[in-house]
Amino acid sequence: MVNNLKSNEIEHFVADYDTDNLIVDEFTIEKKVTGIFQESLAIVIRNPLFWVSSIIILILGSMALFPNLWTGTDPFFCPILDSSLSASAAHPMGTTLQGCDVYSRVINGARPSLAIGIMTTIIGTAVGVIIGTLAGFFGGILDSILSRLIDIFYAIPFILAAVAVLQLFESSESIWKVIFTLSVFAWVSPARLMRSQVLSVKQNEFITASVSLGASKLRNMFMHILPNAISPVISTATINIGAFIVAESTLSFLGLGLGSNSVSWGQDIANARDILVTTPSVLLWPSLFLAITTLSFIFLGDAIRDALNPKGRR
Amino acid sequence: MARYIGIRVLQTIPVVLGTTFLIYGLVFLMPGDPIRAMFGNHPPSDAAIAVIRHEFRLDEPFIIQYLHFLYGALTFDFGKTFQGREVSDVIATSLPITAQLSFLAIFFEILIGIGLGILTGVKKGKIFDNTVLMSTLVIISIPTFVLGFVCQFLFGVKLKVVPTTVGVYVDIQHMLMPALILAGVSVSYVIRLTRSQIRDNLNADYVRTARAKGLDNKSVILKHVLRNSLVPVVTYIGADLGTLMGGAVVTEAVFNINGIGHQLYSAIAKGEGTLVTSLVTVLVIIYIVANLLVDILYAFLDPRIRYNKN
Repeated sequence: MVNNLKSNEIEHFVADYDTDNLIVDEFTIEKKVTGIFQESLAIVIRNPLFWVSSIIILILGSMALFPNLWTGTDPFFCPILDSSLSASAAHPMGTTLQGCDVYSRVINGARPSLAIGIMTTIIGTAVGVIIGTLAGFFGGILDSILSRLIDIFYAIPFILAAVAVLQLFESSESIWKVIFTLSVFAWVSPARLMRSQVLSVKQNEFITASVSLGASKLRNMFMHILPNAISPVISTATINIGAFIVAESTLSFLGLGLGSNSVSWGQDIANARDILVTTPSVLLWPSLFLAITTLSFIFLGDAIRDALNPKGRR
Repeated sequence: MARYIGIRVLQTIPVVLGTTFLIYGLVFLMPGDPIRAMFGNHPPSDAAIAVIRHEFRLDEPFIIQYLHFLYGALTFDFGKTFQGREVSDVIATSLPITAQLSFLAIFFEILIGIGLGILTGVKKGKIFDNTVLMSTLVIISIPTFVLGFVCQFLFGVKLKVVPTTVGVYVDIQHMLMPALILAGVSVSYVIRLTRSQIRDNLNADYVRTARAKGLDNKSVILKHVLRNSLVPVVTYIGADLGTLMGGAVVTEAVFNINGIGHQLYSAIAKGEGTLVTSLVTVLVIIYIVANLLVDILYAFLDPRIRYNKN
């Protein structure tokens, strides 16, 4: 700057000023300035639904991580003599057609269901946020290409396409097979949401201000646009955890989930169909656990949305 | 408007190409030889298999197979299934069944979804409101097939008020329960959407103006609130048609309905690339056309939206 001025031989006069008395105005900060996430946290901990759903999810999490805390029975121990028993002290939820303990299977089914729901959501949301941000931020030809890609994945019937992807795997019972398959489609809706969010945040004056202050594109994208655009994506993602748990059970029902030799709520519900007429409890328990899990994630997502949405604040 | 429709139609071309390419590629990548699998434990000679493979162009490179499929599809010639049936014949028999199921489901979305949505939105009754809202959440969180099993068991086996399965009897009486189950999740969304739209609009300035003019409550709600609240609901229901038809496979499996979802599912299991891609193409085109119509409808329902720019 200075060199420039000198080379153009423009004289620039700056008056002397007294640096000791440079008080423009005096003000005190009365309210503690906090970020959007601290504020949201303060709101969310006042919401009873947040606590109820969090506690249920923590309980389910403990079942998933330490099933031995809850049951000592092996879910694969299925003596055929115990077939289709009703509830008793030894089998608090009865037994399946094969004679497996329903209670033990329900507890042990928490791990694959939660792992699939949470991992799919994390992968899908991360990829979706990246693609949506790139499309919304850079626009132009990149946006056109990514938007068409999103359209393509939107138009394909999800369950049927997941069935086709699952066929690619040789029969294995790893949950990663299901996580990968669901993730192939899980990024689409966060990407579309993120793109529209970025487009609307980009219009704000503070972004123009930041650009005029000389902030780089990357800085704008990561420091200003991303944090302001991401909140609806986070609350939707929480709700989606439940949706993916349901999706896994649907794939199991179609005979393509984790395979019949593994424990999962979806698999057990699908198997329960054959003895629904004689032993309805075999259908009831895994369905109940699945529904409660899904509901908890819906409530948690709702609580997060209410806290993060500045318009909803009073 | 015409320009907007033109652009939208042009935009669908890469989407149709992309989806068919993706699905055809997926089926191509599936492990195993579908022809050999067809014969089970008694495979014919390798020469005979080679002849069949050549007949279905399975011996050609992927891109040639795909381009051949595309050329055929453009001339409405989808080829034959491995069993020798015309693919267009499969579509002609299975598509109307799923379409009937989906339109019946849409009817329930309008009747129950909008109906309960309006009631919960307008009335301030706490108990009724909470019961409906809670029920919608429960329906959303239970997998469709569980709902299907339970209703099949309760109303079909125990109470004997509706037939348990559909099979070959494709009529309203047999389709009623499957359609209701298929619509379940969407009905819940429609109720919640309608309710929140009405609640938002009831507090809007224009409603206060209408009331200040001295309009009675009935006219305010019917003429002002509903008209504005139902625009997003109508677009949701319209766009849902494509989703319902693609998602019908679960309902079709529960109630033994021989629709397009069922055909598609068994075609995937058999590795029939051409059949799978043809059926998916039909579903994708229905989805795209439904969405396009909804977007155009949007402009008519909401005069603030005009597509002349961009």
